[in-house]
Amino acid sequence: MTRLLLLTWRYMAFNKIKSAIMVVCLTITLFLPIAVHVMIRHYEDDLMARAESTPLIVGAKGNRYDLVLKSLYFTTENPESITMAEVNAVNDSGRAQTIPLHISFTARQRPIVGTSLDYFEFRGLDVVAGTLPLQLGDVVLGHDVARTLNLGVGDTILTDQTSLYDIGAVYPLKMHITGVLAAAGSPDDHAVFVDIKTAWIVEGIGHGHIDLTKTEDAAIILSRKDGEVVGNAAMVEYTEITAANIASFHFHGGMDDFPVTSVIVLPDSAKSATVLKGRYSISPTEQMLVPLRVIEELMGIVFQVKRFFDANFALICLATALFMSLVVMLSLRIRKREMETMFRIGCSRLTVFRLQVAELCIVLLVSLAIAGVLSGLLHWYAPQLVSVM
Amino acid sequence: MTSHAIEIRDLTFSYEALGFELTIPHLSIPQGKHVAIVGPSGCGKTTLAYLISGIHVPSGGNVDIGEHSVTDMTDEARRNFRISHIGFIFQEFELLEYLRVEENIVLPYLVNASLGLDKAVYERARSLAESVGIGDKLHRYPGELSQGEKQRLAICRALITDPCIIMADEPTGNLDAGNTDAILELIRNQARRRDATFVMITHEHSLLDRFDHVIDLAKNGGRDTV
Repeated sequence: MTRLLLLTWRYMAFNKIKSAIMVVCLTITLFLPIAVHVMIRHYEDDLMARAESTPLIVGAKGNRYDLVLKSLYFTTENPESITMAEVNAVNDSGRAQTIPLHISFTARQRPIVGTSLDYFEFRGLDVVAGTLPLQLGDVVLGHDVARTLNLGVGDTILTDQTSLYDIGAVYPLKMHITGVLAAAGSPDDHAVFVDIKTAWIVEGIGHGHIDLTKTEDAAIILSRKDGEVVGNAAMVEYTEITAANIASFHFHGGMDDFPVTSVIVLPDSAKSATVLKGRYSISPTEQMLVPLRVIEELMGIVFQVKRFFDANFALICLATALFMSLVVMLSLRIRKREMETMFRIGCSRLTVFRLQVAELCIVLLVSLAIAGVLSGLLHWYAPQLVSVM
Repeated sequence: MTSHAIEIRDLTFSYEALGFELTIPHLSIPQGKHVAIVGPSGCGKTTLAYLISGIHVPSGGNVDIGEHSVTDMTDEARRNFRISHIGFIFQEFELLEYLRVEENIVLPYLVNASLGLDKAVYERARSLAESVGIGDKLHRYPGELSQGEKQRLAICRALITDPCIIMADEPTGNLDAGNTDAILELIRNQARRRDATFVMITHEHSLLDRFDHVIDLAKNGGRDTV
């Protein structure tokens, strides 16, 4: 047997390219279904864990997937906003604690999550450096954001311009990094967190500028009448919140009307959850969702797609098997003379057949080994890959 | 090593598809003699060599090598007998390009488990390679050798089992005049050293005077006792 293996190994080593192509084809065929399975499994675990830890979400009526994905993973398009009045309504019901989320803007392509300090406690997020956002303009970076952008406490980060060609758009806000979160292995690692009021300033609902009633600069005063001062476009709004100008920041309108993307609702009991869901089931403008149900529904679709992939893999396996057969047939034709020589020397036809089988077995074993190693590595790194994806 | 002679009686063989038929009523080759088989293309020279070696099985008659009847053996016994008693040298060398020179020499041992492969075999392979002048090329591949060196390698492979019959099918057909002479003498010397019977198929009539006997299949259909 060792003599056959030696002959086979020598043949494969001499015909490196042919052997490598066969190994690569088989490895891909073996590894691909495993890779898809592992990734979907991890993706599902990741999605489910986040969904399971979030009991209820309130948001505007519309696409429930968008609402849940935005609220849990900060991805997808911005769903319709609701107002802070909804947050207050749930709070006033005395049946649940609420955590508002406003996720409409980005800073260096990372989502800005405007929320309250309760969010950090709810998600179990701790800072590894600095403090949580305690005042307007403070920002805390998710672990991966700090790592990839090479930013830390004391640095600043600018919000992204929403439209370069809209001269009426709000200027980007320079925010001060006051903390960096510990790695959580969740979407929180890829987001930047601000107080919800800072999020409203980013949106332009709140702003800061010089006090027109006290300024002597006539160039920026349009009119003064009965204690009412109207400034012109020359009045510059602050694009950075500092200790010197923080007092000038203010909001126009009532807070009840300010937008939030969604509200995480933490009911105090199952009964409260049922009552609240009942209330929202008849609401014409808002919806209350159980994230776990929505994600399960979504995964159902993903698994339907996976079934399609599985069928696809079956075809790939068939194609690979045919390809391997072709390679073997061509190889037999090319090696016919060599095999005939062996036979004439005194080798049996069975031995010649065994040589071919041994070659296929070695290719299969090497492919299995590589696919196994790759699967192991994928299994090991899947959580990181899933979080990056 | 036991002395052997080749004895053929009433041998018939045919390729029905080609309409070819070979009949050898009687042919006897004594042990240690050097015999050339000549004849035009298609007259059955190679077929005769294959019948003697047991590669082909005759449809009738007997082929005896020494006290062994090749025709009465099972396929496996015939293969084992061939690999240990007959050394084959081919016109096209028929070397395995993916094996090094040393491994090509011991190929009979690699492809047939009935032969014991040990260090002594490799030592013999090295010694044989030295004796034919390719001792310094043991770790090269056939593709790195000249035509003459390839045939020397093929001779080593044929001799590694210390056969009592050396069967050569136009071994000089692909060589130039200088190499032809050298290779033929090399085989003859090796055969003489082993007291082996040397049967060579050839087209080259200029070489025939080196042989003890010549069988012309075209002239007498192999009805010969040499």
